[in-house]
Amino acid sequence: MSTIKANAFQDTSGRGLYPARVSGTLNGSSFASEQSNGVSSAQDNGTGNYQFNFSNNFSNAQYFACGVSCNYSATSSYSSYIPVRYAGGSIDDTRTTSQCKVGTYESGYVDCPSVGVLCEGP
Amino acid sequence: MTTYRVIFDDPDHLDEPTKVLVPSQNWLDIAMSGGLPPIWVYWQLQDDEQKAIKEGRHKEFQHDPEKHALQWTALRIGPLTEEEAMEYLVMKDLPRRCWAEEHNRPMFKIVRTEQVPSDRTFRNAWEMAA
Repeated sequence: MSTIKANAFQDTSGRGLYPARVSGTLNGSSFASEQSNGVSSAQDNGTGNYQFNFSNNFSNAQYFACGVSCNYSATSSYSSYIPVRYAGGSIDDTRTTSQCKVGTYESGYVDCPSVGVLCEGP
Repeated sequence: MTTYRVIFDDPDHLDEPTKVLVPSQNWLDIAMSGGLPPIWVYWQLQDDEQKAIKEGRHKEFQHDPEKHALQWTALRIGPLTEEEAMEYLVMKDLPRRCWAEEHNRPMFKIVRTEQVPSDRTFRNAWEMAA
């Protein structure tokens, strides 16, 4: 088994490559950050409305973003969303190179026991 | 594990509930071991992106590669204390209008975990005490 160690990568034109991967999970019921990588802080913007701030900015805001959330309700099913350019109801889908919003929404925002996000891009 | 939290209001959206920011322990460890670039590296990226948003070209926006690379290549600022790291985080992750502009009351506070209510029943009614 070999280990590759390097401090810098470059593309064929000599430009530095800084691919970024960000992941984080939090407990939405008590709002506690559980585990993160590439995240400088998590933000509680209100009931069911959360935000991850990245340690380093992506080069553009079109990065891949995947969000997960879990909830059990005997009377209704909750929807999870990530900011992928869908803004139904009053969902806030804005994102920038330095932050990504995640939330749980069912006609209005609802708290969720567990929320996670994974972002990847240049 | 840090017990600091930042509570803040956005002066442009005072009708929204007070927000709570929880620092990442991984990021704090990096800050306290001296792994952060100068804060202006992030500010100039924020400035460029905000300009693109205002001009309606955010979808096509791409950071300048040299400015973007500074996040990794700029000379590190050296180890910070936990309190200094929290101040750095405020200046990095909070909207600049919260802390750089003068208002008739503080728009943010750095507090301890126990000062943030644990009961979220009326979460959207939370307001920052004077």
